Amino acid sequence: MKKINNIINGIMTLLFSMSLIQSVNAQEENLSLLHVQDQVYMLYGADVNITVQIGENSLVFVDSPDPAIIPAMMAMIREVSDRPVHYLITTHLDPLHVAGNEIIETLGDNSGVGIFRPDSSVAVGGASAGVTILSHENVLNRFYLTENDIPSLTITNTYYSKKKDFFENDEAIIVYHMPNAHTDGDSIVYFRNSDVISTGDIFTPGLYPDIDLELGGSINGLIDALNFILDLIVPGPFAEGGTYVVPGHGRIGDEIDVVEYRNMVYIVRNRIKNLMENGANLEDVLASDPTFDYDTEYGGVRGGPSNIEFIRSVYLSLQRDME
Amino acid sequence: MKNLTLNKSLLILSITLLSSISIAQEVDFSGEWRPLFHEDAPERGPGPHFGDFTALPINDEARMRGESYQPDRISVVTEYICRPHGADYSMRGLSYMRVQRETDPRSQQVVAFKTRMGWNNMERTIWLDGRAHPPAGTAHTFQGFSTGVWNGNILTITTTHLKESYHRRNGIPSSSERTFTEHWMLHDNYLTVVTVIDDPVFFTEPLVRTQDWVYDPSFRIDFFNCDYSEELPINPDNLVPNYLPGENPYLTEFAENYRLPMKGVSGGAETMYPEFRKNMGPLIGDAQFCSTEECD
Repeated sequence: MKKINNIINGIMTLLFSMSLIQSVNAQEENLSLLHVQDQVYMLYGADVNITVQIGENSLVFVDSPDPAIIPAMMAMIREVSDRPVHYLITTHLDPLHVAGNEIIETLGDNSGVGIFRPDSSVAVGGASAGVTILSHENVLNRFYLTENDIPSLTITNTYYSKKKDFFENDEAIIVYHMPNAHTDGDSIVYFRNSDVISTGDIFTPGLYPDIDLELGGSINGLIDALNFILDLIVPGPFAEGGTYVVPGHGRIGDEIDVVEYRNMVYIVRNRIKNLMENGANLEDVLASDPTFDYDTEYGGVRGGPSNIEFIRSVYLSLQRDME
Repeated sequence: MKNLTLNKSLLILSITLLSSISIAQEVDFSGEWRPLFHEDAPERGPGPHFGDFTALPINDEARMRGESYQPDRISVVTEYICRPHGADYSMRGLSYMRVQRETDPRSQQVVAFKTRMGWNNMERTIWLDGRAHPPAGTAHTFQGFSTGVWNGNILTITTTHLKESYHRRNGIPSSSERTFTEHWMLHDNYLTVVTVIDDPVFFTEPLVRTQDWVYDPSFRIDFFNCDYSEELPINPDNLVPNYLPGENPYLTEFAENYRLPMKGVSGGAETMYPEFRKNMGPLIGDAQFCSTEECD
């Protein structure tokens, strides 16, 4: 019996490995490096969008992908630039967005002489291999203080005020903390000269927002964050272009794309809030189907949270605010 | 004799091929075009009535969006104030249209038509050089990305990469996943454009409409400028005007004022066809704005 179990386990492991390989191959086939504006590019086609500022001095990443596709990603980038990585900004604690941190760290100026930090999971306020990996302090706090499915996390510097800024490739780069939005450690990254904002999972066109209540996310914080992004954006003439936005998932957008997304989140929040103010419990709210008219556009057909998961997170977030 | 027949055949074939190429490229839509409004004038001019979703193949989701829409939204949400029409809708607006032909200086082949509308500087390029549409992940625009091919002397245009916009200016949305096909046909001084819109998010079947234009070399397009204005003294909560489900008090107004069936004004594919009249349900209202015998 044990032998049969071992065989079945072996087959399952093999199938799982094959599916992972297929997944990586599929991702590699779909990968494209899209020029967003000026110095900023977006790697599209992986499980998560990766923003890359490609300048004369260095590469600056926002989020890192699955390590298995980093060689393919770097091959595309190397067609444009041979510069080392100087910065990686982690927008929030999410296995999809931090998976490649450790490998990106090896692509800095000192990559040939090794990494000198003894424990790659500890923030040390510096960059041993010439790569600063930056996140909000709450990313690290949540990694250590909450249960999560991330085996290790490479962060070399954190900030805990409203923003952190630095200058790289002749461009001001401003990292803003968006409190209690998707999580409580969300950052958005504004490339000021290129006029591009990388939003992490605060803005995910075509997907309902994933409000992670366990990690400190909230519906009202999410709406505040979307409104903050809209305040930063200056559209081009006739509501087109100007500041471009790289979302955590989905296509490149500009102001109107964020407006449509914010409107959806705002309207659904108001419907659920109204139901709750009239005594509805979670079952009542789910039964009223408050996202009905948005489900085809956002409701999980491309992945992301289902309508039920979204409604539930909004309800619980509002309930927490009312208590 | 055989050779002569063969040569004749080849000659005829060559002439046929050359003439068909010639016909395909002889059609030049360049010029200044004035829109004709004999079709759907009330909708295209002053705009549709609130709650009039008639003859749109919308699904229940689009209908609910329309029912929760508050017209204040396009002024309170300042980002909407300078928004142009989507390319599919812009062909139905009030605007004059200028069409310019772009040619490759070496080959002298037509590589594109460029259009410009007289409102909000809406410019669009219709590529004829066989280029591919942009990859997934790229930004969408209000005018989208258009490529055209000739079918005889009809230009068939496919447009993708459109931004979310509206099928009707009373809250019926159009999705960023929609695509549309146009067929441009010239009859003397008249241009007819047949538009077929596919919207997998909001339609149950394609919406087919036509627009007509007359050649009018006397007009000129001026530069259009737009700057948004804040229409509320304060908007601290970044208000997005909307009606909660079931709370829109104006949904029956259009049907009542024109004495129409609610089932009809609520839209849906069936309302596009003449057979719908057999089962359209009871007329409602006092026909306040009704001027035909059918209303009595």
